[in-house]
Amino acid sequence: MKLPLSWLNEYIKFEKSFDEIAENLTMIGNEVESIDQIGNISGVIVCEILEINKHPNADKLQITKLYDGSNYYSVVCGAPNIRIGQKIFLATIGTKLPDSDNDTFFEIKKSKIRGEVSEGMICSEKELGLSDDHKGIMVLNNQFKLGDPIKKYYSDTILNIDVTPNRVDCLSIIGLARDISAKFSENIKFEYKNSLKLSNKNNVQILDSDICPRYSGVIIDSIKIEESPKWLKDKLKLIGERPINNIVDITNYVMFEIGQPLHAFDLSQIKEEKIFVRKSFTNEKIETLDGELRSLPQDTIVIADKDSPIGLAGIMGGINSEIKPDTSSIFLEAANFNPKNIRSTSRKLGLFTEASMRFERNLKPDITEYALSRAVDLIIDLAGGKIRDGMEDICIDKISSHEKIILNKEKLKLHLGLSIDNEKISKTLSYLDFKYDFDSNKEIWSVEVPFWRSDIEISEDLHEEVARIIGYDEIPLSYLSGEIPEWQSNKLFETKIFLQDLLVSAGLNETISYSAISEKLIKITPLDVNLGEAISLENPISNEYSLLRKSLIPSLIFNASRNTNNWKKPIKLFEIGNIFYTIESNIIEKTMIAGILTGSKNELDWNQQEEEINYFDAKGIIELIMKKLNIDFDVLKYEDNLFQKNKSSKLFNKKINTSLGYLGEISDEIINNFNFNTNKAVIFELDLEKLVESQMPIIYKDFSSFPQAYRDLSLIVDRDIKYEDLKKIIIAEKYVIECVIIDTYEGDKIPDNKRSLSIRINYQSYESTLSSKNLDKIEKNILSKLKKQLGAFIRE
Amino acid sequence: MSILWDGKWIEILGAGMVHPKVLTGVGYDPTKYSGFAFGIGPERVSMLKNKIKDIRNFHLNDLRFLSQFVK
Repeated sequence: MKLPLSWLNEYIKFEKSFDEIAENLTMIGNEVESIDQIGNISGVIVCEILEINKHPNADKLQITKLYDGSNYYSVVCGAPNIRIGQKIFLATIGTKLPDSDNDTFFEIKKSKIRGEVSEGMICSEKELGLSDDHKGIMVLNNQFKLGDPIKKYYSDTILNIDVTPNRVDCLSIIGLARDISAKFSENIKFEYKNSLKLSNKNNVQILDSDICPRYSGVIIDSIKIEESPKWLKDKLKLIGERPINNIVDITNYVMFEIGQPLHAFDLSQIKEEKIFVRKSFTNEKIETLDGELRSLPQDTIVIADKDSPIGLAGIMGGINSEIKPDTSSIFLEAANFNPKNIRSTSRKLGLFTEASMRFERNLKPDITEYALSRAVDLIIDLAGGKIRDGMEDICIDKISSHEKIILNKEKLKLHLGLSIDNEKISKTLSYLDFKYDFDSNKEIWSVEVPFWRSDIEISEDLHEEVARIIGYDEIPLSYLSGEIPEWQSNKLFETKIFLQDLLVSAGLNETISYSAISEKLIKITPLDVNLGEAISLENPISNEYSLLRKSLIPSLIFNASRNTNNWKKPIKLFEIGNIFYTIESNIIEKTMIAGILTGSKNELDWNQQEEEINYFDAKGIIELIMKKLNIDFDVLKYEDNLFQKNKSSKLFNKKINTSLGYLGEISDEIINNFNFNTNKAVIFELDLEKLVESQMPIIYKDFSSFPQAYRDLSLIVDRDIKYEDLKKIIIAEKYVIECVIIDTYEGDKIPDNKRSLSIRINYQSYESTLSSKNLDKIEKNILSKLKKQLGAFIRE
Repeated sequence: MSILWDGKWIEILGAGMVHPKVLTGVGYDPTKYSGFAFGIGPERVSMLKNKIKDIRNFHLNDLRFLSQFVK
């Protein structure tokens, strides 16, 4: 919202510098983003065009001779609208013209243009920062005196204010003036007035009850459409609006002045002079004032006559009912529309106007009559005209009598940490035009909120009003005091931090992905975590982010695949984050830790062969995690189409008797679908809460002082038998303290469906040194159990 | 709250008293408790500190970006 200080000064008179006003506006919540100085350009003076001659070397340029009352200037000009005898603004040599597009200056220098000397530049309104008009030079009337500086005629400061969405009242000069008046304790000269008589005609009908809380309108006959007077045009230009004609300009002026958008229709274009406010029909179209033919989305509110729409309610008028030079009767509308419909239509059409901006921010219906009356007064004044029947006014809901809110001094003090004088509180309320009754015994104000403050609903909102006007700076600094609460550890959080550090140390990089993913991505949720229904977002930013993830894996696959195209080193990513789903309409949220590895195993070194990451690299990371957290786990068979056959496992914990997660090498199909530039990728995902639950305490055991013995066994087993199955049996045997796999073999030296595993077993006793004989016996026991249970036999 | 950085004021943090509805929503009686909330965007601070031009880089999950912050 632009606030020209000259306009502000019409309602509030004070001697304050623009810096001071800007600073205070910002401090009370209306942030001043930038300040524009208008007309404050030294070197720009009024001149008359004495001669116009053709430029010898350029068809489109002319050489003018200018006179400022004492000096003559020769200036090259290309504008189409120059004539002899015109008064114009000349930017003389050395003038620095503001370049509003990028906040810099453009200096006028003595120069030759196509060989001809030019001693300055004849300016357009845009070049002077007066408007956006750049069609030709700015032509001045006779009131401008030769040699006068521009400052004498145009001098203003404009504050550009970022109004917060809750303060629709501040999208008007009056609203901003009122806020400033409260801050500086100055009264404003303004009153809401309605001098219109009510009409007894029924020209307007609202056909849906929930689209238009109030519709006020009036017919004015015998008006004369003209250009607006200079004061009105200048005001609109200052606030960034293009003047059109007296009627349209008045509707815009009143909107900026008091905040209610208005619209004028050419009455002769409204069939039978009857207006209907209704929702759009299917496939209905309208050509709006900007010349676009628009298909109306569902639930659009239209203003229509009996045949077709004549306006897009609250957004933009229709071209069919536009005010034309020969319009003589108008229907002037000041209405209130449902913010939801306006917002939705605006978004769908990508059409955001000054009017839609105000309606979608919850403008109250009370104001329509005042805006209408103000506009009618101006129209009669500037365009002649006569009111036909008076104001037609339809209120769907009774204009609410405004509820009282209690402001309690004790509560205020508690909330703000600041004790404020009763008088100061009362004064703040008064300047903001809040009516109140004050109970001095109880120190309670019973406050009636004025209709334009749709943002104030509860007593805390009044606390805010007092605080922002008194100034947040006035709230004293104080430190937290009281007993420090007992520290409680949060195991889940600590484990998360611990694992982040651990995995980064292990060479992985942490990613953070959005919780919402696309329908395509959610399909690659592994079965192990695919336990419920996906949750879809009601209002997603786009289809790419329409569902909440049920696993961290889809985003990791996406991230890793993108990296394979421009990262030739190992790609090792992990993420710790939450997943979401519903089971029987209960929403479940869990924290998971997941990772993906792809590309080469190690950064390539001169003495190493390039080798691709595989299943066992992921398993290594799982083992690291489990070891560090002291968790026992079993590796179980896990089948899922997302993985390569026999290259995926589930990780099971006996203590809590549940799966902790899974790991596996993803299928070729996914590798291809996601355009991986590598051949393999392995992933893992673990449930963080379950990891915490399955942790074991460290239990110290006296170590044995007798020597350890190592023996290797080479076994032949069926191919589908895993080392883990053998290990379970071996480790259960007395005196066996550890075993590791040292070699595997499949090939022509053993039968087809078999494979060979070499296992190193570590034996030790707490009672004595194990003799060779003892070891033979233990080994025999192991072998017989392995044979019996798994059909394993010694490879000869 | 804004900070002065390289001669320019930059908004870095929002803060305020918690709305009673929010307190009720998380199980606190707003007539007994009040809340003060403040939040700083770590990306904003990192952008200033590390001269990162585009805030979207933080969520690209690109190793050319991530690998520079393994500290």
